[in-house]
Amino acid sequence: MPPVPQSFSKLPLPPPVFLILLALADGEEHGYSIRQEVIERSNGAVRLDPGSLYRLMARLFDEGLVEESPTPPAHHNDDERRRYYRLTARGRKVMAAETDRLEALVKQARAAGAKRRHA
Amino acid sequence: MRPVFALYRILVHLAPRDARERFADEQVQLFEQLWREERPASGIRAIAWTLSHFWRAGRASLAQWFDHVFRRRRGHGDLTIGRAGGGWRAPILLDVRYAARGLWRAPWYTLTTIAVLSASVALVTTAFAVVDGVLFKPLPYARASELHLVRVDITAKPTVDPPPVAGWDLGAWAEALPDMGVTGVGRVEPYWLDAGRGEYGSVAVDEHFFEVLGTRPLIGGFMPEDFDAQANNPETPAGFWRPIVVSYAIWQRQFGGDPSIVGKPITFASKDGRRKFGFRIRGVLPRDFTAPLDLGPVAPEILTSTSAREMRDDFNRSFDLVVRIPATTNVANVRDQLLGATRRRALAPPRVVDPGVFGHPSAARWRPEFDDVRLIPLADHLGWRNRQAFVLVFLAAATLLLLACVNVAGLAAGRNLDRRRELAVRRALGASGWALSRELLAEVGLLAVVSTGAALVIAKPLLTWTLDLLPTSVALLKTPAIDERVFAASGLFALTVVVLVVWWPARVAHRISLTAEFGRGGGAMTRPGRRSTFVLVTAQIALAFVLLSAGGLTVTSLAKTWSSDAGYDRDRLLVFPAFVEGYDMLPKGEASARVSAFTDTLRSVPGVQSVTASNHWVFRGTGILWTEVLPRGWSGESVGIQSTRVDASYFNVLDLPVLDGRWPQEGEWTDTSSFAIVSQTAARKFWPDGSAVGQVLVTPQKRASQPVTTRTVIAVVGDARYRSLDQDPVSDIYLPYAIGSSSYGSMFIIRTVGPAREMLEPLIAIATAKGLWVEEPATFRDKLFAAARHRVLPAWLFGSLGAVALLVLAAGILGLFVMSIARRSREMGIRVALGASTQRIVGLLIREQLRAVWLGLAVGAVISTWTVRGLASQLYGVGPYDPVVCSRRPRDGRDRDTGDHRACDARGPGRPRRHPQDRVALQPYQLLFTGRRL
Repeated sequence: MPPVPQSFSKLPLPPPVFLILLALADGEEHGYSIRQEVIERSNGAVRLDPGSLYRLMARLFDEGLVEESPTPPAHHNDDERRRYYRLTARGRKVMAAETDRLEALVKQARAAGAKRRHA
Repeated sequence: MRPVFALYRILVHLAPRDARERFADEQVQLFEQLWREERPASGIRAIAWTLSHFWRAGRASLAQWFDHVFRRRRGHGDLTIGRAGGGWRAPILLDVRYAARGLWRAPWYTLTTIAVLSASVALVTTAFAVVDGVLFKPLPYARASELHLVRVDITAKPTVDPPPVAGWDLGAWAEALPDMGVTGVGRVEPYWLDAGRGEYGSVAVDEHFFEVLGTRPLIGGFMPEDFDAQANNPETPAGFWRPIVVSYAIWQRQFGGDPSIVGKPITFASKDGRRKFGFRIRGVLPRDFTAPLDLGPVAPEILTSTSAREMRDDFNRSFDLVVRIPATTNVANVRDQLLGATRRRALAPPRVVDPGVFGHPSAARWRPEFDDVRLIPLADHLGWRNRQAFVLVFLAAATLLLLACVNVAGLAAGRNLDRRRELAVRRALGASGWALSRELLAEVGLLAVVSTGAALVIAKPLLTWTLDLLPTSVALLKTPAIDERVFAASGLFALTVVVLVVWWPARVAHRISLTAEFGRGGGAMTRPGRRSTFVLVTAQIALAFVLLSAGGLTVTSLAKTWSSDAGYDRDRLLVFPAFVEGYDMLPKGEASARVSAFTDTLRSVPGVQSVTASNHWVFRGTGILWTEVLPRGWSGESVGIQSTRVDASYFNVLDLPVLDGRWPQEGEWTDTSSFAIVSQTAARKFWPDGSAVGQVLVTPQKRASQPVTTRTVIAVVGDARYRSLDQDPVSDIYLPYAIGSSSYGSMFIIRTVGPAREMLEPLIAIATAKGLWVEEPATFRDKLFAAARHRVLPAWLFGSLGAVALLVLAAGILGLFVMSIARRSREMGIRVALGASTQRIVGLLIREQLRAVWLGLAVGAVISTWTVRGLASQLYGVGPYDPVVCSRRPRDGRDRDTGDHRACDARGPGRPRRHPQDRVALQPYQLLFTGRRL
């Protein structure tokens, strides 16, 4: 049974989706580099195969969080099949909201841990 | 491009078009890059890496279709923190909950629908479980379509079930096909676990068997040395325990599925338990293995080993040949090659058999008697005996399911019409036709799931019951059981139900509109509504008529069979074959003396009225008839003629009336006398224009030097059916015989004072005490029932299908009737207000439905005239177009007393005495429900 097609406009975001958005936060990237960044940021925990990666990319496209860059970056001299992607404004908004949510969670977790130590 | 990349591209291109156009090329490019950078160099890990990516690519492509179908149109609204789940499952779960609530609030509708569907699905599932092995299950061989069975025939006398051939014929055929896979299969006597209990069929196979069939044993298998002659010679230590491969069922039942079964011994016995056979298990056959020979009721479960060379040197006619003909080879050419080899062997000098084999040379016997060869695809051969009957049964069951679907569709449509205001309002509020249909789908789906679950529970005992009624002559390729195939089939039936049932009500739901609904004001039935009801009623009655007519015909056929005159009193006669233990070791005359003493003992047992015997099995089943004598100068066929040697008291014990001539006088009926008595059928056959009394019968001469024995017919007796009640009496010729003249035993026939069944066990005990063993004693009634069993199953299946069809029809029509009345409440109110009486309104409603009933009956009758043609071969005593399906009352018989029945009718010879008819009441339902015995 395929995963539930969750709307990416509702938080919390699945971790692979958040990592993809993070990878695109710094600028335009193509699929391979997105994948490599996701692996790096997750310390190897999340390794997206091409099928899963592009399925998520398709959904990000449909949700309006990601778009294709019309002009590839200056250093683009590789395979012509490569496409470059970037975040949309909405995508940045969603990423920021998820970041805030995680930050709030971490704060609460830290506060709970400190309380326990002092209890 | 590498093939692996091309294959990956194919998997990526399974995705929806928009995703494909956007990402496919890049995805393939990424895969290529990862292939170069991350794939392990070689070996299993490289293969696993590749397959893993293929799997994920295929899965992702298909998952994108789900995304595509259930995608929500999301706007750029505010972000919300909510449950990240539900997706497309949420509305479906909601629909199911709503449907369950609605069904809970309509208990009668729910219970009626579940009852109708579960009964129908249960019957279809049971029918499928029985017929699966014959009709649907693929053969468990590789490329089964290439396998053919070689059968022989005689052009002048073609036969449905050709006999096996001699091993020499196998050799000739194998030489004619040097480049093809051939394997011989030898027919072997069955084995029993214990005397008369646990019968297992057996065949002998050669070393090419598994290779030609393209299958392997599940565990173990024959070793090359198992095909050595010494391995099967019981005189040697190695051959004392012969190697065998057993079926999965034997492995489970006798060894509990022990994984270390290879090498374990097992002992079987002959039918009488007197001979024991030791075997050592070499392997276990796969679970669904089917031997490539349809040998009738007992499917082979034991394979013994015989080398191909030994088989082809065997003169016994007990072999068959299986050939694997490649798809590129013309089957007709192969047949011509086999035919050529057959004809060459027929022209060759006959092989001389060792005189010691039968005491005298009989070389002429071993020339092939057939002149035609056929190649039958194995798929057609296996199960051929019962395929037609099974097709009929399954079609009837499918018809019942269709009837149930029409029935439930009508009820569901009617229920929708009852809720039409609610549905109209929901449509007005924005619900799409698809949304309403989805709810209906959920409701019907829920009903189908619950009904199928109930059906599977019902199907298990139903299947057990049906198997109990299965005649012993029915061969099934797999043991009927509620297994995964049956589960899958039930799921398919449930899906069919949902699709068929939802279609009509969904159409109704789509048409509902607010304006039309409130404009009409409700309380009246529209013309389309009445038309729908009319069509539904007509369709249901037509389908039910088809099933009822099939059920009525088969049940009547069974009743007519059982009420046929057997020619004797089936309730008070026992067939009692008894043989002296170790008769071949006794001094000369000792065995005969024991038999005579046993006969005297039998006659003195309280409850035994009289005893007689013959030298032949009374109930011959479907065995070939044979006669010692024929009329002098007879040039007609000797088919359908049987001579039997009987004791003088035979006719008295069976109470066969004399129709012409006289009874033999004292001392005239001995085993050396030259008299004979013939049956009425024999008299008509041989001497149609005159009396049989005084005619002469002679022993056919095989050689000119053979002396001719003559016998004179002194009487004609009434016919008796010794094979089956649904077969015409054969031409019986009775010759003299004396009990005790045989050296080993006799086929005793005992007339009892009371019911014969009660005397069976005491008489067996007496025989055992006197040193005799009894083989298959039974009452005549049980033997006749066994012969008629093949009619019980069709009557049971078609009868129960017809009965359930009647119930389904009644429930459906009643439901539609009530709903249509409820919908016409306003119209009825207006009629009453205008002065119509209750009787007139009831008459009006009934008249309206009667039109549909008559039309349904007419349509059903037309369909039945076509469908019951297929049943004609299953019927006896009633034609497929008999308008009145009823049973005859048996004629009254005179009371039986203990007087001398040998005297002719007082009116003198030539005047047939009224034959006391069998006064058994017609109780076909007893036959249907008591299974093995009455």
